[in-house]
Amino acid sequence: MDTSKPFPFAKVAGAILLALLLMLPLITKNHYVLHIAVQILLLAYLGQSWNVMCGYTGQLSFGHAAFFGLGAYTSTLLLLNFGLSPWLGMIAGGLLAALLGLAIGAVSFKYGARGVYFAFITMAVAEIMRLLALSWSKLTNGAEGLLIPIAEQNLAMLSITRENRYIYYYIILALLAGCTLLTYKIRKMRFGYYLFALRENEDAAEMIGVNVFRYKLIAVSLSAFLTALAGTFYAQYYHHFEAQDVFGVPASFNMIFPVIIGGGNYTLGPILGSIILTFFEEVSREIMPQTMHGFHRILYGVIVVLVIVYLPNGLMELIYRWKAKLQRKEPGA
Amino acid sequence: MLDLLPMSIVNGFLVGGVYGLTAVGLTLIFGVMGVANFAQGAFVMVGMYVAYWLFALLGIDPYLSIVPTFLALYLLGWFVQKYLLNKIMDAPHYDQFLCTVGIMLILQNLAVFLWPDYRQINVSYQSMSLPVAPGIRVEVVRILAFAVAVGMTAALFFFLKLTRLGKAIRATAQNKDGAIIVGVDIQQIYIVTFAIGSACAGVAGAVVSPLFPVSNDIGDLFILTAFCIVVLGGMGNALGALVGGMIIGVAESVGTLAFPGGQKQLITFTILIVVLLFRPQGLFRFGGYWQAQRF
Repeated sequence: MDTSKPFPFAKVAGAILLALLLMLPLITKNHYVLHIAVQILLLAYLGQSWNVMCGYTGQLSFGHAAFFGLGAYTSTLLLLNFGLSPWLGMIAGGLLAALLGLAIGAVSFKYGARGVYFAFITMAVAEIMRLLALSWSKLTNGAEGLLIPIAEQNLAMLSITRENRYIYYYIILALLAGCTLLTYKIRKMRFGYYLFALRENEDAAEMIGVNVFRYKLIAVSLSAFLTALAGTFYAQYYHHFEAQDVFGVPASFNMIFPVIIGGGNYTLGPILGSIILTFFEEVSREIMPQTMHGFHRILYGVIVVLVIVYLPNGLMELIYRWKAKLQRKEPGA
Repeated sequence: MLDLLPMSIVNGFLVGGVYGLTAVGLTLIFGVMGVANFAQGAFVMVGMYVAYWLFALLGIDPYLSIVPTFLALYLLGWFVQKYLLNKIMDAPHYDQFLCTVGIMLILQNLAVFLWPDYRQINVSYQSMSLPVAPGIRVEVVRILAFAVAVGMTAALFFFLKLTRLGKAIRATAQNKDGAIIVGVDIQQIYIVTFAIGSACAGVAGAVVSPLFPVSNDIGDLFILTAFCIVVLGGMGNALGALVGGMIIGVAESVGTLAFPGGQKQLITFTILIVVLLFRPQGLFRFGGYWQAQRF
């Protein structure tokens, strides 16, 4: 290996990871393993989508569930009432969510809501969406939620039978790969630098000619669009969802934690965070004795708190520190 | 419906006092150090459990247990600030916020783990009620809860206004650098402030324990409402929080009456968004007690 060039750590790690992930359903057809893999990928995808807006522009959202739930409800209602393919419903949900994001962003940024003020607005919007979904029961079936019946295999309708559930795995893998590539590209683009600039100092960015208002809006709508796609996937994958599952405050926080744990400053951060959190959640639930049921949720909180306090840049920072140490030990060897 | 209106206004007003106490703790913490403490609702829950166990094991009346709950939550807040939040006070504000979310997860799931069921405190005067106006009778427990909540808020006021420590807290809220220059140990002030703010939540929990069933998800009810109140009263504005609590209490209570079966919190969140957009400094401007500190 030519060691004179710096080792392209992220690219190689990404390629190996992707190759392994592509092969997973070939290695095992075990439903449980695939289910965990889907959960990891979904959470990682949500983390990436959230990070596009919140990590890159610093416009914190504690209400991304608004977009997630909108994606789930839009595609499912279109499917149940008009027989529209969820693939199209996914796009429709994404566009609606982007519009909602645009509306929230336009109104909030126009009136100068920043930081925690903006975060509270997003959280309130998500809660209002949840309460609307609960009270508008003619359309949304209220608290019982919506049920998607699966009759037969039909990929065009995103209808997948129990035997072929590995297809879901490939769908969410493709979504995550696309989203990760997109975020990677954004980082390298002029657009990405605008976002970072306005995150570091909005007024200074405005001064040097960045159209802060416009780029914040683009980031919000893009993030909302991506999040809503996952909402449709969630609905199709679980076949059933309730307002609380998709619009609730926990749904909003769930997509933040992988970013925080993994590290929002790194392209692979949300993926690492998702792997750790999902593994932790699922595995500890399996191995803990029955009497300790529910104990893993406490440990989940402990991990979150410890990482925030002791590793504010996430676990990716540990990896990079370790990498730097390795490079120092063998300088140009 | 109209004949029920005065009654529901009175009830909303009384519950609003308790909401206000929770929000006062929240706004105090926010005003002094800019931390939006999402664990405040979980602290209310812990307060309720402390009151419940003191009642169930020792038979102590929940209104007497406000002293032990105050101390218990003061200690909890003290630990949280000293060993967790104080380490990240220089980090971006969302780190502190998410850290308190993590603390909420720990406390709430601890309660789910230990006591998954609903529990109820039944005091002997539970069903007693007093006439407050012609045709309006109010349960004694509600009046007591309101009285303690308002008394506690008033005590906090005098503490902040009259004592040396209170003055140091206000100084830190108004200007950190200035406070450091005149010799205030702001790390210590942070610890005390967070502890007092948490203790307010604990006392609120104790006083509502005869009103609401004690359960592990009760914090959710309080936290979002408390944030709305804090915003309504102006972030960092303690008197505004108390008044805001009463407004939200009445709005929810009347809203329930106006839209039966509807979701009363729709009103709360709509108010929240409108205030955040058009009056982010809050509805009120109360002189020099608190300079609302902005992010």
